[in-house]
Amino acid sequence: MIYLNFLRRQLNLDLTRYIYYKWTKTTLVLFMKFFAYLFIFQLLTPGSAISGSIKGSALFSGKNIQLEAHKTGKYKKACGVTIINESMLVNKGKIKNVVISLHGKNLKTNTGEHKLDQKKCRYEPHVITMPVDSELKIHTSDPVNHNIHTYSFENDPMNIMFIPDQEEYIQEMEEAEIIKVECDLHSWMTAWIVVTPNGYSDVSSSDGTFSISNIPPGKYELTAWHETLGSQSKSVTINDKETNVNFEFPEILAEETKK
Amino acid sequence: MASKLFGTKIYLLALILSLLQVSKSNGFTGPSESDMPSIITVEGKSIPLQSLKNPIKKSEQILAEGSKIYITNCALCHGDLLDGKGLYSQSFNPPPANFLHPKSILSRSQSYSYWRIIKGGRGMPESYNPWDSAMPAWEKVLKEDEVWKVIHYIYSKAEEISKPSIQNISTPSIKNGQKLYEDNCSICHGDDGGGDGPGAKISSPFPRNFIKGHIKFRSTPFGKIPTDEDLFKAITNGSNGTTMPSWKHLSENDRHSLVLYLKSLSKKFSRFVKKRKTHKIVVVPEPPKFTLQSLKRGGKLFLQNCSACHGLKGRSDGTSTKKVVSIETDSIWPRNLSKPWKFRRGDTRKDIFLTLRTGLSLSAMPMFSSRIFKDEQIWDLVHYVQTLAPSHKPTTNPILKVKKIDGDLPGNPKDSLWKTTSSNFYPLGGQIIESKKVIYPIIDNVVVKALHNNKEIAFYLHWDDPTVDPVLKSFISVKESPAPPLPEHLQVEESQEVTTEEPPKPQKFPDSIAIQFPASVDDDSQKPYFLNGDTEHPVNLWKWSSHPMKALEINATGINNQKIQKKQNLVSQASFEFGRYYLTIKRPLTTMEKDDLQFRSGQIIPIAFNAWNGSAGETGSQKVVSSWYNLILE
Repeated sequence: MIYLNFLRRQLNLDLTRYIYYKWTKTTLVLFMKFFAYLFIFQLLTPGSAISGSIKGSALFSGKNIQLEAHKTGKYKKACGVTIINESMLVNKGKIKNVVISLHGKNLKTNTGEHKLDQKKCRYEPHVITMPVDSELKIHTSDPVNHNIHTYSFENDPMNIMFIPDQEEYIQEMEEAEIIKVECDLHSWMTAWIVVTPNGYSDVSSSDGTFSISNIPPGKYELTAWHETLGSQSKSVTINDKETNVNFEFPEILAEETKK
Repeated sequence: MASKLFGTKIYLLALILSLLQVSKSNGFTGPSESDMPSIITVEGKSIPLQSLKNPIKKSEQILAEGSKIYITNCALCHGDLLDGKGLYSQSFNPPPANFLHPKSILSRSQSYSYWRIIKGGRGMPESYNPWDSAMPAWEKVLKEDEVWKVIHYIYSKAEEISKPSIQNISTPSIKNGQKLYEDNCSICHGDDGGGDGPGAKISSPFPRNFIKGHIKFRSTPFGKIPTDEDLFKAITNGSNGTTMPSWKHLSENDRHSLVLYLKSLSKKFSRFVKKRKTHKIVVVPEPPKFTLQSLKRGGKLFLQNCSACHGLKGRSDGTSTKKVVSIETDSIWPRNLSKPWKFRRGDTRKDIFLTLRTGLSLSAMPMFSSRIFKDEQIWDLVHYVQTLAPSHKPTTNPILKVKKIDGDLPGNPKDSLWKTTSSNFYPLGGQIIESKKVIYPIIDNVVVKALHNNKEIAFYLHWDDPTVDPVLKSFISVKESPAPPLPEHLQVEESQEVTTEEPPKPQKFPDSIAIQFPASVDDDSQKPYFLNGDTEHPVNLWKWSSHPMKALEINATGINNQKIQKKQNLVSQASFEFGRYYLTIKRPLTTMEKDDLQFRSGQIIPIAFNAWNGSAGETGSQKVVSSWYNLILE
C-alpha cells in the first residue's frame, strides 16, 4: 500500500515534471505569443478589454426662463427674421449645451477634425468640445460678411474676415481652454469652443443627456460647464460598468442670462 | 490801404508770436534760478527757498517710490523717459518741459524744482506774464514728501538717461535682458510681465502682457507670435500715441537682450521652437501706382468690409463699432482714419498694407489674408483709406484771424460761407490735475473758424466724437453711418424696416464743448489760469451742450466754480455727420453785461477750448482742455 502510494506520487511528480518540461519548451512560446497578441489587440481596440462609461443628464432645478429671440433687422432676408438666444436652452428641466469633460491621469487625447459653420448668421454648432492637438475647420455658408473673432489666450486667437463663398480655414488648438467666439458684425452671434485636455468629453443634447465611453477604470474628476450657469465638478470612480452621474444646476439670476 | 496796413501788422505780430512759440518749444525755458522767490507759502506755512534742501535721504526704496509717483502724475506730459514727449506732449502749448535739456533741472537746484512743482505755471514771476503753461500747481494734490521723492527720482533718472550710452559689446543675453527689463519696463509691464505695473493705470491701451505672448504689431498673421525682428522694432520705435516710448537710446545689444528676455516670459515661444514651427511672414510688396480706378475699387471694398467699424468717413462711428469697444477690458476704439498722424504703426502705404494683411492682435481689427483679397485689392483699400484724411496734418497758427464780412453771419455750420473761411486746428489734452482725470480722451482736437460783421462774431467748430447723443435726432440733422450694403436680393425695403420706436433718450451726460475767453482783456490784466481762471481773473465760457440742447454763457472763477449768466446772448446751431459734430455760435460783439468780454477790432484776445465726451462719462472737471491761444478781429 505504501509502495503504491509512492508509485502514484512518483508518477504524479513525473507527470508534473513532464508537463512542466513540455510547457517550458513549447507552450511558453505560445503563451507569450498569446499575451503579445492580446496586448496588440488591446492597443487596437481601446477599452474593449476592461473599460467603463459615464451616462447622465444635465438638469436645471430653477424656474424655466424664456429668453427673447434676437431680431435681425435689416439682415432678415439673409439671416431669417429672428435667431434664438442659445445662451440658455432648457426644456422640461433638461439643459442643452452643457460640456461634460473628464479630467485625470492617463486619459488619451485623439486628434481629429471638428467643424464650425457660419450659417444663417449663427454658429453651427453653438458649443463645440474638442481635445488638444485637434483641428477646427471653419466654414461659411452665408451670403454676408462675418469675422470670426476668438478671445483665446493660451491658443492663438483668431480674427479673420469671411466673405461669401470663401474657402475654409483650419486652426489647430494646442492648449485646453474655453474660448468664446464672436462676430463683430452681428452682435447676436456667439459660439463656444471648449478645448479639453483629452478625448473624453461630450456636449449635452436637447434632452440634457450626455455619455462618455471607453474610459479606462480609475478615479477621475468629472466637470460640467455651461456658458450661463457656470461649472460644477464631481469625483467619479470608473469600473467596468456604466456609471450614472447627473449634474443639477440651481436657479440663477435672470440678469445672468442676458450677458 | 488801411486794411493792407492792418494785414501787414497782423503778419508781423504772427511772426513775432510764432518766434516766441518756437523758442518756447525748445524745451525748458522757464525762469532762471535767480527768478526764484525767496519765500513761498505752502498750506499756510512760509518756506524759505534759498536754503531749502531735500529733507528725504535718497535710497533705492525712495527712488522706487518716486518712480511710481512720476509715472502716475507726471509721465502723461513729461514722458516715461523725461524727454517731454508724453502722450499729451503735443496737446499743450508751450510743450511740457524736457528734463534732459541741458538748461533743464540738472543745472538747477532741487529747491528750484520744488518751487516749480508746488506752484506750477500759475506761480510764475510777473515778468514771465503771459505764462501759458499747462503745468498745474501740485501743492494740494501731492503730499510734501511725495514731491521730494519724485524730485529725487527725476534728478537721478535724468542724470542716468543723459549719460552718453555705453555701447554694450557683450553678446545679448536673457540675464542682461532681465536687468534692463527690471530697470526700464516693469514700471508699466509689471514685475512678471503681466502688463500690470503702476503705469498701467495711466495707459489705454494697456501695457502689453508678455506672459500671453501677443504683440499687436507683427509681420506674422493675426494671433501668431511675433518674430524677433518684430519685437526689436516694437522696442526701438515705441508706439505712436500711447504711453510706450521709443527705446532707441538703448544700445542695439541691449535691445536684443530685451527681446531674448521678453521671449522667455511666454511659453508660446519655447513651444514654437519645440514644435519646430516657422514664421509665416507677410511680405509687403512695392506699392503700385495710385490710379483713380484703384481708388474707386477701394471705396467699394471699404464700404463693404471696413465701414461697419470705421464708419462711412472713417471716423469710427460704424454700426458695429459700439459693440467692439470696451475701454475697461482694453478693447479700444477703431482708429479714426481721418487722423493718420495718430496711426500707431505709421501712415505710409506699406504700414497700412501690413496692418490690413496681419490684423491687430488683441483688437477687433481682423486680418485680410490672401485667402480673401489679392495684393491688388489691399492696395485699392490703402489708396481709399489715404483719401479719408487731409493731405497733411493741420497746423496750429498761434493767432486766429477773424475775417470781417458784410451782411449776415452764417448761422448754420453747413453754410457754404464757412467753406471759404480759413480754419485753425487746436489740440486738446486730458484734464489731469483735478481728481476726476481724463487719461485717454477720444476728443483730441477741435477745428475752429471765425467771422464778424462789426455787429456780431460767429464761431464755427467741428470735432470728432464717434457717438452722437441720441436725443439730438429729434432736434437737429443727424447723419449716422449706414450698415455695409447687402447684395440686392437680400436687401430689406425701407417700408419693411419701419418700427414704432420710442423717441430717443438722452445720454446720461451730454456731449459738450466750450470756448473760453478772459472776462476782460484790459491792457494791464493778467491772463487767467487756463483751467477756467480764478477769483482774480475770471473767464467767460460759451458752452454748448447736447442736452438740453443750447449754448450758455457761463462765468467761471475756477474749474469747480461756474455760474450761468442771467442774461444770455448766444445763438447756436449744431449738426452731426458720421462721427463729427458741427457747431456755430454767435454773439453780439458788445453786450450790456459787466462780466462779459467785449470784442474790439485789432485787439489780441486769448481763446481756449474745453470739450466733454458725455458717452465716455466725461462731465464737470472730467474733460479735455486746450492751452491759451489768441485771436484778432480784422
